[in-house]
Amino acid sequence: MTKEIAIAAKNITKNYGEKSALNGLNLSVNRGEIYGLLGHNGAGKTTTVSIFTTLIQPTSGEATINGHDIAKEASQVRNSIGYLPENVQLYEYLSVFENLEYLGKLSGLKNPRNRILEVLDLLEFKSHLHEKVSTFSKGMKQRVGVAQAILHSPEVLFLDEPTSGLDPEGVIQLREIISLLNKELGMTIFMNTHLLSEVTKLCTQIGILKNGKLIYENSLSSTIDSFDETDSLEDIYFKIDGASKP
Amino acid sequence: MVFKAAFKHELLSSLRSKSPQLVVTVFLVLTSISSIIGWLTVRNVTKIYNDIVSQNLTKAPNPFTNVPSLYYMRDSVIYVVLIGSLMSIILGAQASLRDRKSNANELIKTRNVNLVHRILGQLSAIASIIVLLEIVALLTSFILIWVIQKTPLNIGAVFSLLGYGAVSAILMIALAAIGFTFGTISKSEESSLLYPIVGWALVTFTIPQIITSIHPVALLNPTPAVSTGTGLAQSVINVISPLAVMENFKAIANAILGVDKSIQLSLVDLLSFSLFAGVGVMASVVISSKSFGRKLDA
Repeated sequence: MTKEIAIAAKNITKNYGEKSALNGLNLSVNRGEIYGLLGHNGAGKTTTVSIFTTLIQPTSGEATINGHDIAKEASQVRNSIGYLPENVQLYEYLSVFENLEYLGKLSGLKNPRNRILEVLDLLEFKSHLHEKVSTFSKGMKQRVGVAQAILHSPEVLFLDEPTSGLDPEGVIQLREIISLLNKELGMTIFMNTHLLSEVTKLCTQIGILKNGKLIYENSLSSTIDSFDETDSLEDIYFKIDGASKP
Repeated sequence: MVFKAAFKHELLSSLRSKSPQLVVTVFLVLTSISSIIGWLTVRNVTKIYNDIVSQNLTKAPNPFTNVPSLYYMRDSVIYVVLIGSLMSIILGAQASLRDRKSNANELIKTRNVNLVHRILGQLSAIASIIVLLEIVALLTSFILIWVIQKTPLNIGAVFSLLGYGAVSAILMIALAAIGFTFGTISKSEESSLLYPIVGWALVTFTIPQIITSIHPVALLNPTPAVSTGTGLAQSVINVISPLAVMENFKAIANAILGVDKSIQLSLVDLLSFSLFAGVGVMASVVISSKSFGRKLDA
């Protein structure tokens, strides 16, 4: 049985003036997977997510989300995705409910109250409903960020460096949430990260991006199986990447 | 739905943010007490006049005898030009900067949001705040003038007061829209406030100063204009006068309030003020919707 493809990129390029951020990116993610896109800073990870989330247009190539072209069917793409940008601060002077109510309405929910309560219940954050976001830690803000991303029940969730700046406890909590969204709600999750530990603990599929090109793509289990038993994922990453381990 | 959501969101955010709160308070206090300041001026001058009369130093009538009841609003015009304008620019700029500083503009761009409706919702909320402030300021003035004169304003004066409030609100809404635009397109938070404030300073001080130099009319305390005849000087005035939006506003406000006979209202004043307000708001909606999502420089 062939699996349905949730996210696909065909020969995507993205140039910023003379500089090329993506250089013929080909990538596909099956429905229900947690895909981890690894790469150094400047490899093109954020550009990739920005293209998939319709924030920017590629210079050339095609990308689809659930079969919808990101350029020609941007509206359908936006309805089926949730997005958590890196370092989202939300509206500091507003409460969790006020933030989510606003973003929920912008996502097309006419009366988001019940859905907000449902999502916060899922994320075990209901007790903070009327607290102002300005009083929250980075980890708590990230939880509200996830809540806004899934309010409109998207099928695909994009996370840009989701654990960036979180303390160890926050990292564990967010990891549990991502896992829950995948297992309980069946969401396809695409995350950018440069943290190998995150990939090992969460992802089912990995891709390695270097200089705007996908140089490796496979399931996590196959990746680990195809290298020496003694290799850690870190060793494997440096072998694929071709860079010497510092 | 987007308009309504943006309207409510902007009201909540603007009323809770600290920097707009500060300028709003200053504006409200100054415009509200402008009648008291006007009354104190009249009282002090009258006291001095009475002293002079008692010493037989003058037989001229008291300059404040028979001043119109809205004379006490005279200072309020200056507060709108100075504090009200800055308050509006800050309110507008903060509204668009808020999305950029919080990265929320990235979230919004990944939604099917009609940006024009959203911007109109935000600007309408700011306009509502400005109108509300004007109502409070005018109501306070109405009560204070009543107390000072021991008699309420007549119906004609009430209409003049309302007309003045409407023109003041239009000026401030246009400036808020301009602030909003700069909050959307500027590269940094500082420049988004700096550019419109420099522009405001040019329009408020520099252009009238150039006109004053050519054609002596005092800036904040106008005296009757002295004709310099025709020629190059008059041509320069004709070209730059429409740009002196604050002078145009002052001319319109004074014509409505009827407190300063020295300022002559012209069709150019009316047209250039209307054009400024209309184009300011429309340009803001168009430019802000096209430029939405620009990131602030790190």
